[in-house]
Amino acid sequence: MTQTMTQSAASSSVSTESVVKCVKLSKVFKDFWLRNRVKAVDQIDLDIRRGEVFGLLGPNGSGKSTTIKMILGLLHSTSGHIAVFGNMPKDVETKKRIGYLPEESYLYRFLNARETLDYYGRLFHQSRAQRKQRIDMLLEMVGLDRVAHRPVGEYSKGMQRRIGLAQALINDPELLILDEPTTGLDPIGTKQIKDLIQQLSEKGKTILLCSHLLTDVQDVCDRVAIMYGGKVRQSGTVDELLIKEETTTLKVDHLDPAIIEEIEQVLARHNKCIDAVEHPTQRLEDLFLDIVHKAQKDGVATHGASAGGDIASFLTAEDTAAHMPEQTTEAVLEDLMSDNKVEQVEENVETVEEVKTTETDETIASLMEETPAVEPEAAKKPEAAAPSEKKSDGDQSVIDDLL
Amino acid sequence: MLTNKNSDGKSDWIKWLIVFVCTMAGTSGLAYLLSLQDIRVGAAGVSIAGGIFAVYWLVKGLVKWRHIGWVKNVSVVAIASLLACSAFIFNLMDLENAGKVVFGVYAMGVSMYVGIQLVRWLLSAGHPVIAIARTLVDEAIRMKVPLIFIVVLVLLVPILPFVIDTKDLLKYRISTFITASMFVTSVSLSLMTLFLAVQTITSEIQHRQIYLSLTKSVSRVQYLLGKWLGIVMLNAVLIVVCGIAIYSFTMFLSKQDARDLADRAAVDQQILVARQATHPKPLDKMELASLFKQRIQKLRLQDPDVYGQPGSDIMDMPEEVMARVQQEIVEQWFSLSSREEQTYLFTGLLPAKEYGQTLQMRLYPKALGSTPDRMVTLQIKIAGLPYQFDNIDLKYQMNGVKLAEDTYHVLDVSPDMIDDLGQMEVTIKNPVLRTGEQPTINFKKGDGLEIYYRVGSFESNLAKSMVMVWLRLVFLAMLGLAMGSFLGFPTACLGALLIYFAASGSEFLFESLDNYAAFPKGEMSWGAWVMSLINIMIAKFQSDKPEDGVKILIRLVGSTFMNLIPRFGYYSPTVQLSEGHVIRGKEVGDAALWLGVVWTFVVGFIAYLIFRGRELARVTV
Repeated sequence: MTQTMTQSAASSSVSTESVVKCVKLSKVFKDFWLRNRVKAVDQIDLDIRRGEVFGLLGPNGSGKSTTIKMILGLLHSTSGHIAVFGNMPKDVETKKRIGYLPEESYLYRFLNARETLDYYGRLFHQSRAQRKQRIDMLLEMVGLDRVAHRPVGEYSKGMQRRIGLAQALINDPELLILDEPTTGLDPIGTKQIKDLIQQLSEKGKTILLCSHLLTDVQDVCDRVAIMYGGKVRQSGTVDELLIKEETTTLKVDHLDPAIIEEIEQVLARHNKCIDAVEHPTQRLEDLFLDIVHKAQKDGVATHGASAGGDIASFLTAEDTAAHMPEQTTEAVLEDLMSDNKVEQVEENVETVEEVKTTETDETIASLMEETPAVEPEAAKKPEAAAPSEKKSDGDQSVIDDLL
Repeated sequence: MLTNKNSDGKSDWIKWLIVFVCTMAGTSGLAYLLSLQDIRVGAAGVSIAGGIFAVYWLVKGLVKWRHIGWVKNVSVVAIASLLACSAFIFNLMDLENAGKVVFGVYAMGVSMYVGIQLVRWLLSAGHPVIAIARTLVDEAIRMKVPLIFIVVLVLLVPILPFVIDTKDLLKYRISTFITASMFVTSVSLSLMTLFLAVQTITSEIQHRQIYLSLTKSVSRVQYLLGKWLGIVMLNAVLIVVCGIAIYSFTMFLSKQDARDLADRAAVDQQILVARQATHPKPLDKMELASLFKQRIQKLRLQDPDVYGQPGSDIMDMPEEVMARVQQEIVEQWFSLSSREEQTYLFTGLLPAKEYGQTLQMRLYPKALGSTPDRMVTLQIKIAGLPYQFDNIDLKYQMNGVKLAEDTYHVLDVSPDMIDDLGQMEVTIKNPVLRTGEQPTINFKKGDGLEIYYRVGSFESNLAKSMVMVWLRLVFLAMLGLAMGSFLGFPTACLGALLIYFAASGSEFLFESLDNYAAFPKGEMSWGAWVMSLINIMIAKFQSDKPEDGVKILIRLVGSTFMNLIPRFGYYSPTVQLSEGHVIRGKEVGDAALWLGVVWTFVVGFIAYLIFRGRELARVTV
């Protein structure tokens, strides 16, 4: 539910202004004799708007990387048109507004983390003081401040991803292009990246996310485009693409078999039946984060990246000295580690609020009192369990009968 | 000062400092007190123990905070200095030369390190071009390939003075050292420059670091410029350090014992100076013009159909014929038939008179016939006075002095022989010997008869030489980048090396091509030249030896290639420096203009045109 609300908030900040616009964009790779070899991208149209998180999905060889590299000016389009902030991709001034995290670490192995960020900062004409401030913040944010003196070549893959992310943010970009950002990262890093994407999105940044990890995309993207064979096969908001109008899931606290039977009878009067009754399990990601967080609290030493700190304040466009973001990564972790019941109860309350029936509250409260505290089934997929208002209205009569 | 933000790290640093200061203060105080009590053994023991602990503590601190910039720099210099102490051990073992080599390597190494750090500091501004240049410098000193060349340079230059045969005359030893060290410097840095320039760009494309750089606020021309600037700045440091090392070792060698006074004088007046050469003119300015007219008249009388009617305008003669006649007259003027005497006038010697240093007259005699023992006898007068050789008894100089053929001879001349107009007359006679007449004797065309006089110092000459070497590196840096901008590492290296070696041996290669196959010569227009070439080739292919036509084709390709690359021979200062010949400002200016500006710009522009349109990403689909 929390997830759904965040997406809604981000969506509300999306403007209609195009940040990246591709029209009939094609890319054909030729061989040595200039014969057409592969049509990697085939007349695609994309319109990424300011403030949205746009996901580009597709299997290997579907044309995602080619599209991104054309947007970045590293490849020339064979036909069609690309505009980034209304300019050609090669325009140097436009690149000042872009941050790019490639699919692998393409950093100088002989530079250490601080030198690496200093180098990329200077490519943006940043002053020494500005670079120092941003580098300190970014290193702390990605958890590499204590290993900043080690050459990047000695870093693990995950640490290289972290420093890669930091370099992508050094210029406080308006458009952030992330190609497989969570590859090689542990679940903590993955969670941090997703949190970061959400926080940047809330601050009005535009993010183009290219990933194979569909859950990541689903968690953070406002809109997605699914590519195959160089073409965009489907695109739209995540909700539009994922919603199953033909199914309804109810999330309640533990029910006795008798109550379930009673519910079945109610449903039967409407020619409906329960397809499955399941108890949800905790997500492995949550379990893992819980263990690591406890270990960090116990002060267990590690030679790798540390937990990472707050989002760099310059990225939030607030007063850098005075303010840090309210919802820090640590705070997010704290939330995650806390008892799920509280959140679930809150979700239940919000769900019921959406259907706007005061009687319902009382009935649920009585049901809760009758049954022992067992984790609800619907908690397995909290985002799926959060129905949209439209869907709730549609099933109003069934719920009324049930209760 | 220590930038570790961790509070534990800060307190560690303070603790470390307190222990160090307390150790030093305690040791000094206790040793002082003991010495006041005249307990010398105790004072020495305390000093040694305290000293050992202080060194241990210092090293511990350096190791602990080695990642901090200035600590790292100090550590490197401290360790190098520690290693340099082995020079004293060599001295104790009566291996003084080894000690000097170690000290030389240390001095060069530390100087380069400090110089490179200075360049890194200079390149710390927040501009893309400068940032790329700085990263290039970091790459050069942290990657293996460029480092190998730098290490070779640091090891070879200090060793060279000690591997030259000490039995040679000192002037030859110094000259050999200068030649060898300049060669080592030039070749090492040239190869380093080419490999570094090619590697930096091809490696970034291959390993895709370029994706990140060029998706930032950097244009492609800025990227190329940054790479070039980094190499050029790095080379500047290395050239300065090598120049200082060459100068230091040259001065060290010049302090060695000379074989005799003449050897010492040669070192001081011929090698460690910058001398200007002057060539002779006829005593009578109209002499050669008159000879020229007479020769033309004679030709016209012999064959008026070819050369024109006698008395007609001299300008009607074909230019080719006029050039040939002029050359014949000059050669004749430099030739002395038997009994003939010729006076040559050297002008513009006022600076030499003001310097007051001995001048050198250089001769290269050649007999146009057989001579006993390949020696020629010449009678030489300077300013009307017979020239006296110091090492030959006067009575043997009455009828002239024997000089070996086809060899350069250097005669010292007093500056008093120069008149107030800055002129000096040299009269040379081909005398009749008791054994009979000698064949005609001439002097090698170009530099067979000239006078050298001092116009500057060795230091300025060396500085100009190093600038010229650096200018070659400026061009090579851009060449390497250009090759790397569109070729892979191996191919780009081969291409760049081919151009480098061809440019270095351009004079020899042009001569070889001239001898390999005949080309149409003479004054003619481009169109006529091409038609003539085609006719020659057709004739060759239709003849019994069609391979001669192939030879012409090969020469055509070779000549075209050679004309498309700069001629490093024009900008090679080594011979001039080692022989004490002045390197004129104009030569440095020409090198700066042609190598540093024109060629570098042309190659850089081509590189930009290629690089601008190149797709840098490689996508597997």
